Amino acid sequence: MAGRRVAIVGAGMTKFVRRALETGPELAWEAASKALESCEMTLDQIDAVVLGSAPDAFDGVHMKVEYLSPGAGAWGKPTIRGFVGGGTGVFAAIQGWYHIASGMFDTVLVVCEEKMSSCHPHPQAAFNYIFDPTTERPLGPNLLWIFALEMNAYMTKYGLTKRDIALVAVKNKRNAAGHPAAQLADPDITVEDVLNSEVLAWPVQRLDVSPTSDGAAAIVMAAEHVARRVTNKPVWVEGVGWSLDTQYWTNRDLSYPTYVEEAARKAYAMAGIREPRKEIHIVEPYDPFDYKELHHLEGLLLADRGKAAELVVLGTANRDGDMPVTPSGGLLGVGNPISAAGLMKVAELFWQLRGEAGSRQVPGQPKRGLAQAWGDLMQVGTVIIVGI
Amino acid sequence: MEPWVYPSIALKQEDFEEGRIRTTRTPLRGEYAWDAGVAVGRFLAELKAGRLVGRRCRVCRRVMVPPRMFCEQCFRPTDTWVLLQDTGTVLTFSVCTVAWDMRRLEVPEVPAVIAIDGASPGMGILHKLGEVGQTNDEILDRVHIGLRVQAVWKPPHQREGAITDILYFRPV
Amino acid sequence: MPLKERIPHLHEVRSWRGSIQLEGVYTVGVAGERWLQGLQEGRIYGTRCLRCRYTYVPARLFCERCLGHLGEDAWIEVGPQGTLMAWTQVHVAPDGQRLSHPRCIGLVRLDRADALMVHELQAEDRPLQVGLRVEAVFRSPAERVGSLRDVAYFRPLP
Repeated sequence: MAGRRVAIVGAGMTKFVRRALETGPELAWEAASKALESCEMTLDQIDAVVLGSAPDAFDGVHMKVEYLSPGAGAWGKPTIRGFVGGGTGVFAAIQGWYHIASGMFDTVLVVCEEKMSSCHPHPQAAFNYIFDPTTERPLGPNLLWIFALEMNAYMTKYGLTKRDIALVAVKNKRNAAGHPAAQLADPDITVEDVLNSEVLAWPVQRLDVSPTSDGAAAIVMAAEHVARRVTNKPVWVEGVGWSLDTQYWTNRDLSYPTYVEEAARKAYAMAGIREPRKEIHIVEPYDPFDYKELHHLEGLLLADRGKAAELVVLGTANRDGDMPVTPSGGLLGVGNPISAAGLMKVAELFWQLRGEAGSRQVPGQPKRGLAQAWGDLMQVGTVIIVGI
Repeated sequence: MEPWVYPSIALKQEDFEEGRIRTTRTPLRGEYAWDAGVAVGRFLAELKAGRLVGRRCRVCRRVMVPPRMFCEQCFRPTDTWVLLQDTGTVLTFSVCTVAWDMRRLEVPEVPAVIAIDGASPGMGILHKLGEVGQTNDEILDRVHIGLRVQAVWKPPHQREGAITDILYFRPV
Repeated sequence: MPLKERIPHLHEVRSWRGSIQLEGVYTVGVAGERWLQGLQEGRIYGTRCLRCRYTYVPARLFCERCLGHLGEDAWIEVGPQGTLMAWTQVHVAPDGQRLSHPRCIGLVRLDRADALMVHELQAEDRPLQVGLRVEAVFRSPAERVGSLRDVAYFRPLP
């Protein structure tokens, strides 16, 4: 274990919605103040702030984190922005961890916010500008291309069916039915609904995709001596890892997320985990598209390559299965305000391990969970393992 | 955990359309000239001449396309230019029925990652497929991963040194 | 020497021209809705944090110093008179063109507020100096739309 012990001691979030009335700083404040309230702490007890947010183009404000900072409690405090695209939400928690593990700070407020609805004509337009301006953008690409290309490579390599993959969307949207912040919960959704939804970029259909969202999430992290004073149920950070693959995404084997495996191996080594399939009790992998959950489970070494779909088909991944996957409802069900969605997954583990997840509670008193996020140009993996 | 979820206020499309809430609008317009740089500059010049080129690293022996002046794996300069073929193999593809702003397309686009012959295995570039049909079903019938394809070039006088000097790749 | 002159064959430098074309549609937010409603009614509101003894203008939903909620009882009317804390005369437009008539921009501490407000300043021939007493001039009620520009400008008190 590197550095000092660090715990998550509080968590809060906004509802995830398609369009919020609140401004970005107001959303950040709603989540941050709820996180502080949840552990009965006040801002003057916070040493430093970590702010996560994805591309500035969503909120339409350059230097977005400076713009958000008042609502995140950053006034007069050491503050840093983490930004690894969709991987940001989990990475922000990792940054919070190393701020404290290093001995530099005792308490950190980690806040992630996204207000995608500001971006017109559609939030997807902001993603046009992630492609290489010379060798790719003249072709008129859009974000769906890269997901569709990756999904097709993954399905074809392992002979997976759309039906198997659609089960992930069904599971997650049903799981979200118990989440008070959920945007797209649907307790009655069926595989047929997913398979009959509008084709966007084959093999990707409307219900294979998470929504665009506005929202924020926040956690409070603390060094051991503070954590024990603040709560009798600290949730300890046991392992972290992150890794980046090449920007030349067309030169990669898209059927397997090597960078997720690299991140996971670092996190498992730090947590002393030798058999992740037995030692991880809850998984919150990044699920912006249904196939991504499966892709990531394989990268996390929680399923053999091409076999993650079996976990869903057989019910192992259900909330009451042997290895619950995305009991929160995930990005597909709760919503996808990019960075806030990643941090929501960390918050879910916090609530689940403390037995506070209400109707979403995973049975059997789970002791350890893993959250993972993914992003940049399909190239970054960020992993955090927490336990009680 | 319900107490720790803030009841944020969700708006509907009508709230905007009917002016029930106040908004400010600002165009975010930026004009750019992105320098192609040394490697891609040459790549574009060769496209104008109707050729695809890659760069070879003599340490890892990879022939890379798009070309770069440095090998990101060996972290050293690449060594030589390599003339590639304008044929290749479809590594993956999609049939895309929406544009970047989510408008529906009349005729689907078929983006693909194409491994270029002469480059190292798996070295693909992003491009589009053409002459593969007008509807989803037609396209899915004709295109599969592993399909052999060849570039269809613009006539020489129309080329401008751009990735779009290749109109699309079509089945061989 | 400018970069342009160091490149002997400028026409051989390859670049790809393009643009970023997005539009931001910003909600004004919970506090913003009420604040702009106030401007439309000819009033400038601030929100005061009693704990931090600080009054924000434009009004905010929360205090950034303690993260406390600034609710109903935090709203107070400020200004419309205030003190000029800094000013500048702008001769160049954002696109680099020279303006035929320079614009004056002032930073004003409205009476009863702590945060400063930036706005246009119209002083005619009055000499500007820090410490000058100024006041907000509203557009006529019919012209107001619930925007920052419902305050037409600030001007020195006679």
